[in-house]
Formats: sequence, C-alpha cells, structure tokens
Amino acid sequence: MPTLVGELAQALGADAVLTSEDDLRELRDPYSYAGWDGHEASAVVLPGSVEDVQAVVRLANEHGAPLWTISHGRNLAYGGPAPCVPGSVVVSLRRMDRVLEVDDDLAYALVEPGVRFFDLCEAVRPRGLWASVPVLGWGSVVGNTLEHGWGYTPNGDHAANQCGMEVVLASGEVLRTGMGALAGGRTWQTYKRGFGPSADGLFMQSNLGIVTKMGMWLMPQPEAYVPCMVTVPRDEDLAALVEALRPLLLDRTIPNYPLLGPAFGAPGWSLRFALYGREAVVEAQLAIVEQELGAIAGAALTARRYSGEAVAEQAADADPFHRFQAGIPGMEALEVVKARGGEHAGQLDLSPVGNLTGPEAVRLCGLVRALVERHGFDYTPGIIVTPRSLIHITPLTFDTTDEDQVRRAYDAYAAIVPELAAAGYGLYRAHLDFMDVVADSFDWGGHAMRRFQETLKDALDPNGILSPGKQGIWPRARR
Amino acid sequence: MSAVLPPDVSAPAFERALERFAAALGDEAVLTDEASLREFRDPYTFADWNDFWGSAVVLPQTVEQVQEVVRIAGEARIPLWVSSQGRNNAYGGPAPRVRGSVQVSLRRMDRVLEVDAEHAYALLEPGVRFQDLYDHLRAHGHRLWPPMPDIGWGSVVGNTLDYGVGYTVPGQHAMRACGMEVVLPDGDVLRTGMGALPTSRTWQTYPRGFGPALDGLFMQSNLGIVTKMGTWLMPEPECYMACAMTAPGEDSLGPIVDALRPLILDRTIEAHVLIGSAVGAGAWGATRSDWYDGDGPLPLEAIRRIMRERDVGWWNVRWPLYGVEPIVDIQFERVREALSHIPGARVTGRKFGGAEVHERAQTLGERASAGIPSLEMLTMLNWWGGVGGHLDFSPVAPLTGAAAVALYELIGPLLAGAGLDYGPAFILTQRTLIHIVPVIFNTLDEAQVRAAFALYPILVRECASRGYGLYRAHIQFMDLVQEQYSFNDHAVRRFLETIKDAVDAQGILSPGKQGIWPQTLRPARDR
Repeated sequence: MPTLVGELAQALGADAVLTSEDDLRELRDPYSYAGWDGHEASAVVLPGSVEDVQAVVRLANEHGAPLWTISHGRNLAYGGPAPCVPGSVVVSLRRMDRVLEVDDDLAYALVEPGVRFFDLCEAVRPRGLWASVPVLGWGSVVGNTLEHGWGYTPNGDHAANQCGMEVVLASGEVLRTGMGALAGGRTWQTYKRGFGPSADGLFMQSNLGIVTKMGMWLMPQPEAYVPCMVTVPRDEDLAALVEALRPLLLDRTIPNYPLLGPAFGAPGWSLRFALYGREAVVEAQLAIVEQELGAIAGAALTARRYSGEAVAEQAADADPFHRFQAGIPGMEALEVVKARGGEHAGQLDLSPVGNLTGPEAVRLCGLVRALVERHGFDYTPGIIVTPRSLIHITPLTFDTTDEDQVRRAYDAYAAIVPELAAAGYGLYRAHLDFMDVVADSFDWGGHAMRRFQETLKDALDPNGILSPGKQGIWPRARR
Repeated sequence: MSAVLPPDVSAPAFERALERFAAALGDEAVLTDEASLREFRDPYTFADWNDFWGSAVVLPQTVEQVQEVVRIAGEARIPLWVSSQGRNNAYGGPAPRVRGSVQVSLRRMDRVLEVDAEHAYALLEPGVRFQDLYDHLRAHGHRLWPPMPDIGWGSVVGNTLDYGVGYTVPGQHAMRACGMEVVLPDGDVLRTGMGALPTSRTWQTYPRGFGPALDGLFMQSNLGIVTKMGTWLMPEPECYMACAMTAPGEDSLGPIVDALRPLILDRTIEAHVLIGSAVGAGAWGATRSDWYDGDGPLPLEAIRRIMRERDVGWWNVRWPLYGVEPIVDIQFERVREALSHIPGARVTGRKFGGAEVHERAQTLGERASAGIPSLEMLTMLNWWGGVGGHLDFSPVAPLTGAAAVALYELIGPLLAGAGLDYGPAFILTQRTLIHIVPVIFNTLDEAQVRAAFALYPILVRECASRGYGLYRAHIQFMDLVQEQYSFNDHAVRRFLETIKDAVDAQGILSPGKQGIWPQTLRPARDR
C-alpha cells in the first residue's frame, strides 16, 4: 500500500518532501518548550507550482490525511509553522516565491505566497513604490495578510489592501476571486470585488483553501516623509493622548497606523506615526499634529524630515521605525524579544481589540496590565492604532528552555482569554493552542458564526484535509 | 389573491403560506393586490412586460419576523426575493429574478440603531434610506457625513450590499461597512466579525473577527438577509471644496484620467472623481427634443449647443477636497496644475465651511460630496419624453486613460447603432474606473425599451471579451454576466453554488441573484 509521503515524493520529486528529524524540528513552534509534543508534523512538502499544490491536495484527499499550510511559517508568537493536529503534513509554500507582476502606474504587485517582505521591497522600491511591511521582513507577504496582519504605512491594514486571489480548494480545483474570474480580465488587482458574493475574506485566517497568488496594493513613493514620535510623561496621559489622536486619524491627517506603547524605561506613553506627501502638505499636517498632540501637558514631539526618494540611505542608522514606516523591513524585532527574555526567549502574543477613545483605551490597557501582572508577567504592549480601534498586542515573554516558565505563560493565556471576552474584547489572532478557546468566546447566537463556518467547511472540504482546527474551525469528523 | 403563483406551488398551498405569513407579520404586512405588486415591479421596463412579477410582498418589521418569513418559505418551498427599499433601479428595482417569488421588503425595518459620534459610525437597519441617515445625523447635531450616492431615496444597506459607490470618503460603500447581522436561509441569525462576541464593544470599529471574514459573502448575495449593518461615517471637515473642471475636447478623456491618477493614488484626492459628458449634462431637466428633433444619434452640432447653452465642456469633472483650509488650497493648486495641459481646461472650486455647507451647497456635486442627499438626477430620465427609464451598464476598467478611451470608443457606436444616446460617466476610484452607461429610454415606447434590452447582452459580451467585467447587472442579464466570469470553467460560480446548497438546502433565498442558483433550479439555467 503506497504511503502519502511516498506518493507525494513521486508526484513532486524526492527533494520536495522532507521527513528527517532535522527538517521536522524546523517546523516546531520555536516559542514553546522543546520537550513538549502535540504539534509534530509528519512531513513537509514543498510544492513549486499551483499544479503541485493541486496534486498535494488530491493525494491528501485520497489518504484522508490532514495538511497544514504555511507560507514561510513565520507566524511567531502564534505557533510559527507548527500544525494544529499532530501528524499533519505541512505544506510549505516557500518555493513559490515569484513576484509575478508589478504595475507602476496602478501601484500594485501580484505575488506568490513564498515572497517575503524583503523580496517584495527589493522588487518594488527601485520602481518608486513602497510596500507596507510589518517589523520583521522575513515573513511571507501573503501569509501575513491572510492572518489579518498589520504594517506601518498608510496601506498597513494588509487585508484591506489585498486585491484578488488565486486559491486551490480542498477539491483540488483552482479558483480566482473577484475580477480574476473574468477570462482575460484586466482589473483583477485593481477592483476588489467581482460579480456576486466576495470570497476573499473567506480565505483569511482560514482552512477553506490554499492561496497561491495574491494582489497587494502599494503606495507611490512620497516626495516627503516625516516619521514622528510623541511622548507623554505620565501613565494617566493615555486618555488625553488617545482623544487627541483619534480625530487626526479619522480625518486622515495621520494616514498610517500608529504604534502606541509605554514609554521606554520611564513612565508615560510613546506614540509613533508618520506623514507622507508633498512637502508643503506634510509641513502643514505636521503643524496640526504639533498643535493637537502638543497641547497635552508635558508632551514632546520629535519629527524627522526625509526625502521619500532617499529615505533608505538617510534612515539607515536611524530609529528602525523610521524605516518600518517607510516600508523598509528589518530583523531588529528579534533582538527586542531577546532583550526582554534572554537568548532563548519566546513569547505568546495576547492581542485583544478595543475601541479608540480615551476611557476605552484606559479600560483595556488597565485590564490587560492587571491580568498579565496577576500572572507574573511584565506589561510590555505594542498597540496598533486604527482610526476606530486599537489592537492591543501584549507579549507574554518566557525562556523557552525553562518548562515551568513556558507553562505559566500558556496557563496565563488560557485564563486571560475568557476574562477579556467577558469584558467585551475579542482577539484578532491567536496562538495555535488557544484557537479553540478564542473561537469559543465568539459564541453569539449559540455559536452561530462557527456553525456557519463549519457548514462551509464541510461543504467545501468533506474529507476535512485542509488545516483542521485552524482558528477553531474543525471538519465534521474531528468535531 | 395574486394572479401569479410561485413556481411549482399550488394555489391552495400558496394560500396557506400567505395565511402563515399574515399570522406571523400581521395582515397589513402581506400584500397581494395588483396595485401593490405593481409598485414592486421593475419600474424601468415596458409597462406590459411581466417576466419579473412577484406573487406577494411581505413587510417584516423585526429580525424575528424575518426569521419567520424564511422558515415559512422553506417549508412551503416558496422562493423569496429580498429588497431593502427596492431602489436598485436600472438593475431591476425591487423585482425578483424568479417570477412568482414572494418579495421581502425590509423598508419597515427603518431604525438608525446607533450613532457613535466618537468613532464615527452608524448601525443601521436595512430600511434606512440615505435621506433618513442624513436627517438623523442633522437632527441630532452630529458633525458626521454619511455615505452618499447620486440619489438619496435608496437604502444605505441595500446600496452597500450591491457594491454601490458614492461621493464622500470612502466612496466604495462596501469598504466602509463594518459588522453585520444576518438571517440565514434556515432562520438562524449570525453576527459577523467582532459581533460574534456576545459582549463585543468593537463590532462597528474593527472590520474583521476571528477566523474567515464572512461579510463579503452577504454582498450581491443570496446567502442571507442582512438585518443590521454598521457603516463608517466621515467627520465633517473644517473646509470642504467642491471642485470642477470642464474640458471642451472629446479627445481629452484619456489625458484627464492619466493626470488625475497620481493624485488619487497619493490621496491628494480622497473621494471618487466623477467625469460626466456634455450629453449627460444636456439631459438635466431637459428632453432630447430641446436639443435635437431628428432620428439617429445626437449630432455634433446639438452637442456643441448643449456645451454653449449649458456652459459645460465635452467632459465635466468634479471632485471634492477636504481638510483644513491651507491644505485644501495647496491641494487645489496641485490638481489645477496637473490638469493645466488639458486644452481649454477651466478649473473652478467653491469652498465651504464644513458646518455651513448644508445651507449653501447648490449643485448636485456640491451636495453629494458633502453627504447631502437629493433626487435631482431623476430629471435626466425625461430625455425621450413619456415616462423615462434606464438600464445601467457598468463595466470596470483599470484607471488608465487608455482603458477609458477604449470603452468610450467601443460603447458609443454600439448605442448609436441601436438608436440610443450615449451620455457616459466615469467614476474614478483608486485603481479602477467604473464606467456608468445610463441607457435611457421612454418606458411607454415598447420598441425603444426592447432596443435597449436587446443591446445590453451585446455590450456585456463586447466588454467581457476585452477584459472588462460588470460590477453589477440588471436581473434579466445576471446569468449572462456571471457566465463571463468563467475562469477554470466557472470555478467561482461552482464554489458559490456549493456554498449556496450548503446554507440554503431548500433553495428559497433570492434564487438566481447574480447568477447563483440553488441545486433544484440549476438544470433550468444550464439548459
């Protein structure tokens, strides 16, 4: 009887199927205790083409074997590349790494899932286009976007700046969403919808298909670029800062997604954001920002003026956020993790979404602080601010070689999620081990949403092969 | 008792279903008399055509009543067709795709459930019209501007669900929707996004939830009935400038689009830009015979006369700028400079304080981009005299001058060949232009209506073969349009119909909407 691994090797080539202990170790969640089991992959398969992906899916159906799809597997703090169900075959898309198209006039790129933020930047910046990036450049553009990831340019809501997908379904069929369904269509990457219901959202944080191509909107390089930082001196200035900030986001004076956090090594808060555009406009916007945020007692604002064209050189040695907000990714954030938790540091990210008013921000920050401190962790959040909401990301940092510490972090996470939910805060993303816990909290109407999502799952993936358990959605046989 | 029955439902069985609807909703909420049904037909067809008549209209007022309606329909196997206000005019209005459907009108569910002034959103029921939302915001002193399309009588939810566009920011209404409540075909109710968290505080402030985002599935859709929806509002700007440009040359279309694209992409212009034509301008409050009495397409001389007497260009462009006055001034200069090479271009702008625009705005453009509703555009429909109607043909193209010109040169002659006039408009969004072709006719003139309906499929195929798909379509042509979206042997339709069968086993909800059919009715489509 042929094994799935044998058949995969036959279909894709022996070098495309890895099963050695070393290879499988790379698929572990790097931010967990090394001695723990529960998420081991049985093999990793590396398709190089859409046809390869189709072949993998078809073979998995024949064998009734669970797959787990990753792009580059850099979903760190949320499980990395590790599968939910032990024994899954991990489908790594890192070999599908082509930037298929860049349109200079219309400012978009069409990419495969193996394209990293580093790769996309290299492809588009020489053409006068900026991609939005998260802080770490080694992750997949597609993977990050599908996980509802965020970046720091005006296009930082990556899911909202995605336009057009190609998807391999659990049946092995390929579909193109939106205008991509039109044979010879010219607007797949320029118009976000097609004719009839929009399917794109279904394939994000999802186990309903494997995305093999995705359009991403870019921004034209601005003439002037001015990253700013505002600090307020006291913890209780948070409300005033948020209240002053919100109107500037709602009217798009500040067009990107600011990062808010406790000031480094001091009381108070710091806020980073940037301005982009013609020099005269940016100067006028800066004056408004200074007036509105500077009105808070003790607030200090620093701004640095860059030429959009030369920022890569001009900001080479500057605060890394001057680069991130200009769409230049790095690897510095890994050092931050180590600075917090030592050479073998790991973290779980706890990321509830709250509202953007002063009182609401104070309530959420106070609640998260109390919860993590009660469990013995430091409160070191990075808060992504959108015009109406904030995504409050708090790492629970630990030493991955210390089983006890890791366990305390995991226990804390499981205990905190329901408390946040009871207070009205859902998580925008969650670690593998807690996807069920988080999904359980989204139980309006007796779990109406999960019931609907699982109805779709069963209809589209009757054998339950695609990423079972992803975001708490299980195929019938495993429920 | 209605003259039309639902397909494959006997008169007594239908009668029993109507009694159950009446018991659930009240007698006054179930309409079967001919006058009522006439009100819910497509107003823009020849009066004697009756392919798209309903068998009854039901008017639920609560979510529970909507649930009852789908349950009764499911048991009786009666197809439903949902409309909010039913103003999807030019695409079929409230009329059902399947003759004999029971029409579910949500116009009595008309509450503005919440306005959050700080986060600038509203939570609406589907019966709330743009006019209602505007009035509500004004009455409560909110300095917030609503989404606003050309005409203010339609439902905000209905327009959004059909991918409608408008003139405040953001202009693509689907992109400002945040959080839905949906009654599914089996009567279950779900809330999308963060609304699935029972105690949620962020249903209208964060656009996704945990796991796959479902909202898109319920747009242009027959998978559920949306009973609540959040929409983001725009804070009133300190300064609002309604800007306009006229250009006399027909050949300026491409250069205008190319000049504006960088300004749209870099957010100098944040709202949609509208490019209208002289012929369109000539239709405002006038009839064709005011300009030309003969047959055949409007001659050049008549177009020149419109330009002269109406003081308009061949192309008439409008866009708003918002912000503090000094920035608006800089941006206005930038746009003016970018358009300065267009021969004969005349660029104007009128500034308003955000708070005083309600009293001062005069033109439709000044009002629409300030979120002020109007009905003025309806005056265009008198073009041929009689009782005006139109079909809207609306292909989507990349935002390039070349694409705009290609569509212009393709479509004008096809309309002229059918004896119809071409008053094109282009809505410029960030990377796409939507070409709106109002095919205006006199609904009392059967031959003319027939000519318009006969032309539509030709336009669909001609555009699709060049890579331009429609973003929306009239009920009669939904199958044809969906047919064009054929990648991998109609993979998208197959996918959506798999979902349709899974969530609507009885196939009762708006069968045929956007060319998506339940299993039982697909054989008829595929024949």
